[in-house]
Amino acid sequence: MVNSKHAFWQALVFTIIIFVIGLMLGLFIENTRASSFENYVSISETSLLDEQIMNKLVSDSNVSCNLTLNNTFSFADRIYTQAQSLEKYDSVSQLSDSLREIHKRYDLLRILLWNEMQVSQKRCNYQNVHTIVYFFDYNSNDLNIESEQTAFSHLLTDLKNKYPNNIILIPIASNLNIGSVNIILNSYNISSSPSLLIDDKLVVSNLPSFDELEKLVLQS
Amino acid sequence: MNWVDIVFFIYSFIGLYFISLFLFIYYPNRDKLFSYPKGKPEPVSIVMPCYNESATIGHSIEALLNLDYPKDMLEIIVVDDMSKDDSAKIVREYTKKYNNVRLIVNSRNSGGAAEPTNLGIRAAKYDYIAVADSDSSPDKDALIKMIGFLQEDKLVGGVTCSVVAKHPVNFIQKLQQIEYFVIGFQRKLLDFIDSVYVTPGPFALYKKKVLLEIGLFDTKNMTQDIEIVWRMHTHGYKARMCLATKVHTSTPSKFSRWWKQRVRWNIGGTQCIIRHKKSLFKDGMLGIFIIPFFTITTFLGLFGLVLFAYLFFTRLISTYLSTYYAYHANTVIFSFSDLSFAPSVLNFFGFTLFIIGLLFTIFVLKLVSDYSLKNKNVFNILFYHIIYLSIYSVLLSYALYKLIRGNYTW
Repeated sequence: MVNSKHAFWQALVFTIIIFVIGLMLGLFIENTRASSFENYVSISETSLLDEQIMNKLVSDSNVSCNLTLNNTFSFADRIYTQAQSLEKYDSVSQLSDSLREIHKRYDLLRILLWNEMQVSQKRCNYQNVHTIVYFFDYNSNDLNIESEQTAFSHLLTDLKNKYPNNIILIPIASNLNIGSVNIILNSYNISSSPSLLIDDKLVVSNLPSFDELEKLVLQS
Repeated sequence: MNWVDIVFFIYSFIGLYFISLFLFIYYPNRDKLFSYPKGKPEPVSIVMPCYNESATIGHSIEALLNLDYPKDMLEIIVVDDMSKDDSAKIVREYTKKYNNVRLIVNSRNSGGAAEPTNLGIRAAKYDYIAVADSDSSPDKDALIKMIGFLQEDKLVGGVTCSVVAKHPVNFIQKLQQIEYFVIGFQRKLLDFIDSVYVTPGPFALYKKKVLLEIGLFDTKNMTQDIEIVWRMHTHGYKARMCLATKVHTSTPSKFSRWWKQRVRWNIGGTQCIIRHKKSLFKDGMLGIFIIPFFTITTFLGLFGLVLFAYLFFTRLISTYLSTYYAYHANTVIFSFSDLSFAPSVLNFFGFTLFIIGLLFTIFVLKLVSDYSLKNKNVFNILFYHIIYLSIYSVLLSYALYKLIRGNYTW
């Protein structure tokens, strides 16, 4: 009989090799994903710069406010869609923290957008345009928070679908330890996630019904 | 990565390791799978324990009488364990007709196969003992192909052959047919690393001297056919596997009987681990491979169930909460935008492992049988892989519960 006891070591080495290849492949795929989002972030940064310049032009040259509003909406919607697809990848197991860092950059971009929107709103006094900032927990392990966030997300999508040209949605992760986000949370006394900040005035922390939310937004 | 991911990683690693191990054993030995040492016929006593087997005992005795082996070198001893049916009466008819068939009636019902088998071994005339189940029939060439393994090596105490399902008719029997083919092939591969851990009851051949030396079958163990091999290892002996011949055994046709049989097997396996725990890392391959293999698979099976229960209840609670909040907010419970396919590296590992396991099963079925891959059979293989094997975790937990409670019978 041929004794095959060396098979134990061969199998171990083979399994380790397969696992290392698998891990490298996994890291490669994650890096590829991260790179594509890096590109999106770069494009969005350019769009934001464009936005800022347009706002400046509005204030300096009396250019029509409406001219910039459409651009803001289209940019905000695009950044929102990108964030949604980023979250799908965020929710699966990750070997590295590359997407988390991109998520932070997106959050910062959205804060800048929000800030631009505030400036623009003051200057142009848009009627029937509402900004909803949605603070949520990034990759929450709490089932209650996770489920409540899903309901919040559906609610906001329903509202956005009903008023596509009147609502700007700005989702921001509240637990990524970003300095500016922490300052915002403190200044608006927001201590729990998920929470909504409607038109920089009203904080909603308890899950409302669709009708209640609609009323709150339209009356704000 | 969270702890569930890490556990899944470990499972994938161990699963891939064992599949790799089988492949690395198979490849250099692929030409020797069905070979066997040519032995010369020597007298054999075949011991057949029997309890309430009137439906099959006659057929089983006929199969033994029809073995391609010199008739004057065969002795068939049926040991009736106080059957309540006509088993003893049927055997008595054979004793009248054939002078090499003997009947021993146990003075009590022992409730297992070990005690009547031991009675038969003690009464046996010859130096080689075959043990056969009363609901099984070996191929005609079984004895002649198996005996050479015992003759070529003085350290071989027992030899087993491939066990296959006899006339699988219904679904659960067809699943067992697949399982038996895979187990038989794996056992042959383990033979190449001196790690055969069982000589299954349906048909096995032993040296009487070895059986007596190690103290015969353990009457307290629920799987005496596993325990006897482990004890052989502790005495420096080993068992071999002959894939060139097979024995056809009746398989449970109902889920409840299948469940009962498998619970017994799992209780017995665990009893073996407990009894031989001191052999861990000692006594050759018993301590180096067999006991760790049994212990790891038991632990993984149990922990897998705990993990499944955790994930299942987490999902259940999450669904409840999502429904509650959606109802409260008067919004949808689920939207298609929630659906996403963003596979992680762990998904790739899991999927790859599943495919490799599936291919391994298909490969084994093609190699050791004429199993056809028609529509129904493909479904059976998939069901075997996804559902049948998963039930083992539940089964194992139940078996351990019964073992701890001391509430088990044959």
